[in-house]
Amino acid sequence: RTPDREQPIDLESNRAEIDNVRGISTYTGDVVLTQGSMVITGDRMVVHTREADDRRVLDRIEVDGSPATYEQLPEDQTDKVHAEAPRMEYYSRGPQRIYLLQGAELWQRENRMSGEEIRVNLETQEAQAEGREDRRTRTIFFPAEETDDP
Amino acid sequence: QGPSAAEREDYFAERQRMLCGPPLVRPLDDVDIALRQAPETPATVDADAVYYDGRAGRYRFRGDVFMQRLDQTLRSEEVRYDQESGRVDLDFPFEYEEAGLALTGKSGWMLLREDRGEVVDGQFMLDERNIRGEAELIRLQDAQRSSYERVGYTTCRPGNEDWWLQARDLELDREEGLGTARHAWFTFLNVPMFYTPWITFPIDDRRRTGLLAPSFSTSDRDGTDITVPFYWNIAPNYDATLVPRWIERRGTMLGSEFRYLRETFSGEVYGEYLPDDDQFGDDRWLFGWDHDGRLPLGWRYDADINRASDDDYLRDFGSGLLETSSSHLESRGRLRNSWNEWAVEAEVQHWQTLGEDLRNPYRREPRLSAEYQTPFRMGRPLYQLDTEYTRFALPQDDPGRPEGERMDIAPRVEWSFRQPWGYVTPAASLRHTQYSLDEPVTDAADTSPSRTVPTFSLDSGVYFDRPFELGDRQLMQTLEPRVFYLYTPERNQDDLPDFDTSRRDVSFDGLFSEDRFAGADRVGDADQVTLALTTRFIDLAEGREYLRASLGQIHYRRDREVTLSPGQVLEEDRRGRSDYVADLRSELPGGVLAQGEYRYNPYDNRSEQGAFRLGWNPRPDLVVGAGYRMRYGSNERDLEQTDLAAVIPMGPRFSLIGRWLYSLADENSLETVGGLEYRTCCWRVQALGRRSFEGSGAEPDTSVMLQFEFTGLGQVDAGSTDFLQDSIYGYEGERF
Amino acid sequence: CGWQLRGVGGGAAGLDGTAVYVDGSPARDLRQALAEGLANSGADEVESLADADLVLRIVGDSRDRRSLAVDRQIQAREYELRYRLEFELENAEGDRLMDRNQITTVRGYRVDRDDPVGTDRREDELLLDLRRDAVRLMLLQVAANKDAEPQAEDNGDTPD
Repeated sequence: RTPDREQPIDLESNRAEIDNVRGISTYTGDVVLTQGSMVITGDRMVVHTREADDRRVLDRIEVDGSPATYEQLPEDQTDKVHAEAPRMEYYSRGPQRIYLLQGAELWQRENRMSGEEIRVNLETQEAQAEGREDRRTRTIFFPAEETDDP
Repeated sequence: QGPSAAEREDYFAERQRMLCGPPLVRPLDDVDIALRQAPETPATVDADAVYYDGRAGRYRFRGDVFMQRLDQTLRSEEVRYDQESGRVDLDFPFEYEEAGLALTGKSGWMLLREDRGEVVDGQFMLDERNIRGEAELIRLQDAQRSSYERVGYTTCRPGNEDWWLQARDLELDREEGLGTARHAWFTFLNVPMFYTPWITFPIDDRRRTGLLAPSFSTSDRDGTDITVPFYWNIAPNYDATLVPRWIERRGTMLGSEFRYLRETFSGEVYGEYLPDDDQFGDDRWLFGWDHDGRLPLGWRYDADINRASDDDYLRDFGSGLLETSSSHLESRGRLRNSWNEWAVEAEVQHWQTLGEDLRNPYRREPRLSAEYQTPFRMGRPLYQLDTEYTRFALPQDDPGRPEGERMDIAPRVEWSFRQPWGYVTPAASLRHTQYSLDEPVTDAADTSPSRTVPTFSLDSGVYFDRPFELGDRQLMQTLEPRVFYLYTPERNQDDLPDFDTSRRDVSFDGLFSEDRFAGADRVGDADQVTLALTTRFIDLAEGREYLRASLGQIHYRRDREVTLSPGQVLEEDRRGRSDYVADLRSELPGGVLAQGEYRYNPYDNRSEQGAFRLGWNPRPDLVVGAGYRMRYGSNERDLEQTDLAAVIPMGPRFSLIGRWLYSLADENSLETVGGLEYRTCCWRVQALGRRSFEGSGAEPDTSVMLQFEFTGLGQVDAGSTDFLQDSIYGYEGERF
Repeated sequence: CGWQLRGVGGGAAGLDGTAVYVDGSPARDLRQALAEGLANSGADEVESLADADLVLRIVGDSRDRRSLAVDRQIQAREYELRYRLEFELENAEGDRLMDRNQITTVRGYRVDRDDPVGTDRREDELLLDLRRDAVRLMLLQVAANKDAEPQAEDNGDTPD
C-alpha cells in the first residue's frame, strides 16, 4: 500500500480562493480533503503548499469546523484512527504530525483519548494530550484487549 | 424462650458495627470477580496530561491521575500503563481500592485484570473485620490471596493503635479464611506481650484458629496464672491447641488438645501436664481421650477415657463449678448398633474416684444389652424387651461388697386407648434378674440369687379445655386430671446385691414411674394410686405455653417393704400418702422463664424439697437469673442455697457481670463473682473478681481473672466465658 | 362454666389429621418420643415425603450438665440437665414455614456423691421427661405455624 503522503490530494468545498503566488488556498463550506486513507473535513480550511523540485507540494493545513474531523489508517495497522476537534493543524513533514486543538477527541476502535489539546506524531504514532482546569484528559482503554497488530 | 440463635447473631453483629463504625472497605462479595477478569471491561483514566506510544502500546499519565475499572480505582501523581501486558506501573505514591481491599503504597506495579501486583511500603485494609496494617512489601497473588513482608497487622480502626501483630511475613488467604504469620511479635497497648515463630489465625469466623484468648489471673492460692493458648491448624482434618500455662506458686504447665476428623471416625485427645507442682510436691496431670467412629453394617463405637493424677486435680485446675465439684471421673468404651426395633450395646465402664472418703462405684466389665421396642402406633400395643448381662467388679477388694455377674430380662407390653378427650393405658411387665456372685450378700443367702416379679399399671387421663381472652390474645386453659394405678407384688430381695441401683428422685414425673428404684437390683413392691392435676395456659396462635402448673400425690394402699439394704426401714415407706408434689413452668414473651418444683411433707408438716428459678433474657447480652434451692437433708446437712446472677450491658462498651451463690444452711457465700466486660472495636477484656468457698475450715480463695480477646486473632475458647456459661443460666456469650 | 372435653367440644388437638414427615434422622429415643408426641397431638406420621402435608426437620438435640448446688466440701449436691431441641418446619413443597427454632427444657436433680452410676441413671430418666416435654412444646409451635405464610427462601427473620 503506498503511503498516504505520496497519494494525490482531492479537495471539495463550496467555495475556494486559490493564491498561487503565495501558495495558500482557502476553502470554505463542507470542506473535505482526501489523501489516500487520510480524510480531513471542516467548515473552513487553509492549505499551505511549498515548492519542492519544481512542483507544488502540500506543506501545512489549518482547518476549523464544528468540529473538524480527521481519519486515517496508520501504515501497519488494520483499524482507522479517528479524531475530532474545533481546530486542527496538519504538518506534512518535520515530522508528519497533526495538532487537535480547543477540545480534542481521538479514538481507535473503543480506545479513546480526549483533552484540551492532542498532538499526534503520525510517523512514530505517538500522541500527547494536555488537559486544562475544567477539561482534563480522559483516556479509555481495555486492559485485556488482545492488540491486533502482529 | 430467650432470643434465638439468628437473633443473637444479628444482635452481636449490630453491636460490633456500633463499636467499630461503618465499614471502611466495600465487601468483597459485592462485586462479580468474573467481571473483573473479563476483557470487555473498560478502564477510564483522567489525568492532567497523557503521553501515548501507539507502536509500543504504552501510556504515561501525569498529574492527579485517577484510574477506574469496575470497582477498582487508582489515584496517583503519575501512572504508566503497558497495553500489551496490561500492567500498571506506579513510581509515585498511590492509593488503590477494590471491593474487599484498600491499598496505599510508595511505589509498585499491578495487573488489574488478574488482581496481581506488588506494593512497596504499603498500607492495606481488608473488608473483613477492619483488618488493616502496613508492610514493607505487599504481594497480591489474586483476589483471594496476598502476602506481606515485615508487616504490622491489626483489626483496630485507623487511628487506634491498641494492639499490633508485627511479623517478618504474613499470608492472608480469604478462600481458606486464614492468616498465617511467621516470627511474629504481639504488642498490646505498646507492651510486647509475646513472640511466636509461627501462628495462624482466622480472618473470618469460619474456623476456630489462631491465638486463642490469653487469660491472666491471680489468686491467693496460686498467685499469678497466665495462659496463652495457640491453635495449630495442621491440616483440614487435624488441628491442635497448645495451652502453655504459667502458675506462679505451682510451676509451668502445658496443656494440649489434638483433634482429628476422618470419614469413619473422629475424636479428641486432651492432656495437661505440670511437672513437680510446688504446692503439691509431685507431678500433676490430666488425660482425656474422646473418640467415636463408625464400622460397616451400622455399628458405631466410642471411647471416653478420663484420668487425673490425683483427687484434687480438678479442684486445683478446673475453671468451672461443674469441674471443681465433680467427685468421679468416668472412663468408658462402647460398641452399639440399632435396627428399627432392636438396639444392642456392649460397654466397659470404669470410674476414678476423687476422694478417699468416697465409695468406689462398681466397674462394668462388660455390660451387654439388647433392647427391643415396637414403633409407636396409635391404638396398637407397644411391646418392649430389655435384656442386659453385666459383670460387676471393684477396683480393689471391698469387704461386704460382692462382685459378680447379673442377667436381667424385662419384657413389657403397653396398650393405650387414646381419644382426643383422654386416654387409658394399661401396661404389664415382668422383671427377672439372676446373679452369680463371688460371695453371698448375707450369710444365709446363696451365691446365685434371683428374683422374678410382675408389675401392672393403669394410666388414665382426661383433657378439659376452656378458651378465654386475655387482652387481645386468644388463650386456651386446659385442665388435665390424671389417675395412675401401680401394683407390684412384694418379693424378698434382701439377698440381692446393690450393684448400680438407687432410689429415684421424687419429682412430679416420678409420681408416674413404675418403680421407686432405678436399676435392676431392686423392684419396689407397690399397691398405690397416684392422683394428679395439671393445668396449662396455651396461646394456640403463637404456639406458646405460657404457664403449666401441676400437683400430685401418691396414695399407698400398703406399706413398702423392699429397701436397698436389708432391714433398713424408711419412715416414708410406712406412710399412707406421699409428699404433695407441685411443679410449675412459665415462659412469657420478652424472655421471661419461671420454673419451680416443690414437695411438701404433710406428716412432718415441712418442706422436703423446693427449687424456684426466675430468668429474664430479653436480649442476647442481658441475662438476669435468680434461683432458690432447698432440700431437707435427713442424713446430710440441709441444703438451702440462693443463686443470683446477671450480665447487664451498659451501652455497647460495658457489661456488668455478677454472680452470688449463697448457702443459707452454712450461712456463707459459696461463690461470689463480680466483674466487668469492656469492649472496643478490636479487643475486649473480661475482668472478674471471684471469691470461692474452699470447703469448711479452709480459707476462701479470692482470685482476679483477666480474659483478653482480640478480634480477628482468635475466638474466646477457654477460661472465663465457659466459667460464666457454667455459672449464669442462659448466658450464651458472644462468639467472635 | 366454659369447660368442654377436648375434641368433643371443638377444642383443637393441635395437628388433627395433619400428615407429618419427620426428616433429619433423629436418634432412636428421640424418634420414639416424636412418634408419641405426634400421636398425642392428633397428627399421623407418614413414612415418605411424598404424602406429607408438613416436613418437620429435626436439626439436632443436645444435653448438657451444669452444677447447681454444692455442699461445704464443694462437692456437687445438685446438677441441672438442660435439653435442647432444634428443628425447622417446611410445607410439602419445601417452602420454609418456620425459621430454625430451638426449645430448651431444664430440670435440676439430686447428686449422690457415692453413686455416680445412680446419678447418671437418674439423669437418663430425667432426659426422657425433658425430651417428651420439649417435643410437646415443639409440636405446639408446629401446630401454630402449620398454615403460616411460606417464607421467601433467603431472609431468615423468625415469624413470631
